[in-house]
Amino acid sequence: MTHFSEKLFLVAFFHYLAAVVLYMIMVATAKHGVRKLAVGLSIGGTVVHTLGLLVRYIEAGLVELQAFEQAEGHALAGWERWKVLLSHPPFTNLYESLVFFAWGVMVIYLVLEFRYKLSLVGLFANALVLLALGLSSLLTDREITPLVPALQSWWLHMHVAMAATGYGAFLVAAVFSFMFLLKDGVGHRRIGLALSLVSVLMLLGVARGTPILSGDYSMTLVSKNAHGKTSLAFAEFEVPARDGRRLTADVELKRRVPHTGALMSLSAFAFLLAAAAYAVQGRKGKEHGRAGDWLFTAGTVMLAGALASFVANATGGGIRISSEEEISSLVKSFAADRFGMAGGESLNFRVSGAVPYVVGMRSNPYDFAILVFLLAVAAFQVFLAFRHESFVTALPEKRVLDNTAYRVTLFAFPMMTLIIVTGAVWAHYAWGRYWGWDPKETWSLITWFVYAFYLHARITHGWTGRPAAVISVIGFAVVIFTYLGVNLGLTGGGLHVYGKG
Amino acid sequence: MPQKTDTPNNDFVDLAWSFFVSLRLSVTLFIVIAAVLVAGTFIPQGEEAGKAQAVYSPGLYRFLDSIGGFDVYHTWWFTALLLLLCLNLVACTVNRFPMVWRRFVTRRPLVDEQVLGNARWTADLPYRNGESDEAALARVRAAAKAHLGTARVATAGAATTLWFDSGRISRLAFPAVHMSLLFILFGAIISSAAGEDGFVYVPEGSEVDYYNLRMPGGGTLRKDLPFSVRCDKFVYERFADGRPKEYRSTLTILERGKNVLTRDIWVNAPLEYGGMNFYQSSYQPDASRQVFTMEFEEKATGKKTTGAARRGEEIRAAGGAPALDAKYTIIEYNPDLGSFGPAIRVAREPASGDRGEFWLFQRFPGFDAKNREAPVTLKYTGGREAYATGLQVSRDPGTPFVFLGSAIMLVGLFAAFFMSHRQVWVRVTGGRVFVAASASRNPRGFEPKVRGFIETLKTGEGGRA
Repeated sequence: MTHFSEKLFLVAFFHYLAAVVLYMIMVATAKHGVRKLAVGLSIGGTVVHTLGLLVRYIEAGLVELQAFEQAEGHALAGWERWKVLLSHPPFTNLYESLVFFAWGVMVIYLVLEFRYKLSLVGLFANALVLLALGLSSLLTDREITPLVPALQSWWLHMHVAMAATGYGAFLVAAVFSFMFLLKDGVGHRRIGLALSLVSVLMLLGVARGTPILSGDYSMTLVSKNAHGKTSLAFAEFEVPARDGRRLTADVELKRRVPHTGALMSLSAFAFLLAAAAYAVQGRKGKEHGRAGDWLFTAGTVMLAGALASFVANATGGGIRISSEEEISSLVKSFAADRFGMAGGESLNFRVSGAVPYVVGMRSNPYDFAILVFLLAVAAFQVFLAFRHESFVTALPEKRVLDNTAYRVTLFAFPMMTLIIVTGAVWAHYAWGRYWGWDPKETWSLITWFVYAFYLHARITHGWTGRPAAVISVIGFAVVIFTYLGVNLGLTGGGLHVYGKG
Repeated sequence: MPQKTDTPNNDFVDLAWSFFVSLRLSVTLFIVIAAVLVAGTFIPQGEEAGKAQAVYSPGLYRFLDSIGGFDVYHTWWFTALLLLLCLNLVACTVNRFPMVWRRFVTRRPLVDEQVLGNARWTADLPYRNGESDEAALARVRAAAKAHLGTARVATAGAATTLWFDSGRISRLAFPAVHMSLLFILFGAIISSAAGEDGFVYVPEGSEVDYYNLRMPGGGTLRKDLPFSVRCDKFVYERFADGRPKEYRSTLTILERGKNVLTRDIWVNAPLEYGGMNFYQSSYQPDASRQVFTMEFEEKATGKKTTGAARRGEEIRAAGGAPALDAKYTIIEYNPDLGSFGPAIRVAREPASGDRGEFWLFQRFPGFDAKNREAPVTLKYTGGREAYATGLQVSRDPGTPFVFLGSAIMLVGLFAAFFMSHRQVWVRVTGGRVFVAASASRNPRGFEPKVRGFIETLKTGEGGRA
């Protein structure tokens, strides 16, 4: 069932999209009158977005109320009714969390827009929000279900609301820092070098340890369950550990898809060459040589091709497994590959979902998001290759950018502290300890460390300008890892896994 | 810089001191600790470490195991790193404190060179035509009242100086934030030294006076409680789709057999008593208290009787029915026997003749009638499940310190980043009104106020900025 709130979020999404397009037109044509319209669209989008969140809050409250009344066997009234209605905030799974985070970014951006009237901040803010909303729309788990006991706490409201605003503020600060770096004359070549390397790294990440040049790329199978809900297919089976105990492992079921991997490999290769070319250009002191740009453009084109083939595989596909035998042989081959378990006959396993299994847009949502993000960033760099001067001229003053990044961080840091403290208090009530070195907790501490370092460097040792901006941009990468990386299972498990059902 | 008196071993002290206050130490510690933290999130820790055995090569596993890599956050060397960071923190705070403190306590009600040196805004305005000192002062006071609030007045010679001072406390914010970290670390040390964590299962209706303490490195130790805990009731509610809605236990604390406290606990709402915390963490079916119901059928007549009993008890026929043909006792329960579902083993002891034992399956009611030659056959029809509530029992004397430290830190951060020590001096003497103003941070926030005040002095107009 699609909730009405989701339609509102979609309307907001198109507002932001239109705003981004207008900003691009503004930079390309130097018509600054367009900016007002773009800001207007951002405001419109945020209003609809806010409305969507309120509607979602009510929808969730009603689901909760219905479940409660069904379980209790009678209708609730008065205060009890309100308590249940308000107990389910609109940010309790990864989908809602991303939508709420995007909202936080927009609100913080708009406050700054009105206070400082800084042009072009909106371009970045809207673009990143688009990405967050786009990613959220790919998530399979959008259902509103009654909260499990562990989440039934008012601390949930506090903790997650703080997280959205705090992380949103860090994102906005990073945007200012990035703009500062551009304005500060960090050359096109250096940015190209950095972006090429980041692209190569992220493509390697998408390849997940498979040798990238092999061109292998697999996508997770999905299937529809009895309620018509699409979910990822995974197999659970027992693995013998070295000490003789038996452990349960669960593995997502994947199938190799054609073309995508090869195109990603080519793209990564082109970016690697681009990085080398940019580096050599720097050595020779040629800031404006074109070799790097051409290679970078080639990488971008391949990337677009990889994305297109991804979409083709995920929509038309042709990958369809309709027999149980095929699925069990797939599981057995997994067990053999991953855990060296050859004895297929004795393998005890359970597979989620039911035939037919297919590859869909919801198969590898994060890879898709990463590809889209890379393509957006790469397109921006290609765009800059031709419009560098006019873009940099349109950016606000250096001093203002540096100072605003700092002020936003001053707001975000106490927020981050509050996220950790409210989390600790909640953990104390829920799990009987305020700190347990859960990966999410640990990463939040790492984030806190990075920004504590930023503040000390800045306040005590006067690191303003470029070094501060670099820490701020790196800091945001750490924030994103804390926010998403931990939930994507990149770390060793933990209690904050809301990505999986 | 170190402020040490000259003592013979002053070189060494200076050296140690400058080591602990050095930026290089802070940066190194930041990076090393961050690296360890990161590593710990990728290498499975604690209970998860078993997985590492299946994935890592034996050499790598042994190496990581030997340096405590599967429990990094509790190794001596990680603790040492944190302590070093603490020392660094203390040293830096102590190093700066005299200056911070001086700024906090030194009050400068008069305009002197230092004030002029720090002033961000100054204005030197003439009296209005023919105004007396008193009239000018009255005018300044009125303007000041509208813009700045109450002042302290100091007179030196013929000059009267109004001095406004607000947000002075924010000068202490930075040391407060740093000291709050020490509080938190102190709490953490107490937690790890004196904290205890364990669990106990309490069947409904019974009480316990101990819990199972979890030992570092696995295993548990039975530990006595200074009081008893009784579980009066355990409720496990589910939503219609089968997902858990609520786990709730009604607990009573007993001191020497007397009830002292009864309260409900549920997930997110623990009970604290006598320094111990009781959390609702799990539950398990309590087979020994489970009531099984069954049906007896006399083959010849088809007459049916129902009965019920707990494990180990003789089955009694329900309400006034004639006695059964033999003594039946439930001797074993298996929630899933041979994957055929719940099953009970019943012993039959007739008044005369041989004792017999047989299984009954809840899912296969006809099983007994088919398999056993007997005048009376049984059906296992179900029963009421009984539970034992699973309580997490912990004691953590460090918690108050950690939370107090957190509160201080939050207040301190707020004061440090959003408050500012703002001062304005207005000296009225000899035909001139001299204004100086300063703000320790965020001058842009104070600027409108100062400008508004000066504007009012100039024009006699303009309200609150």
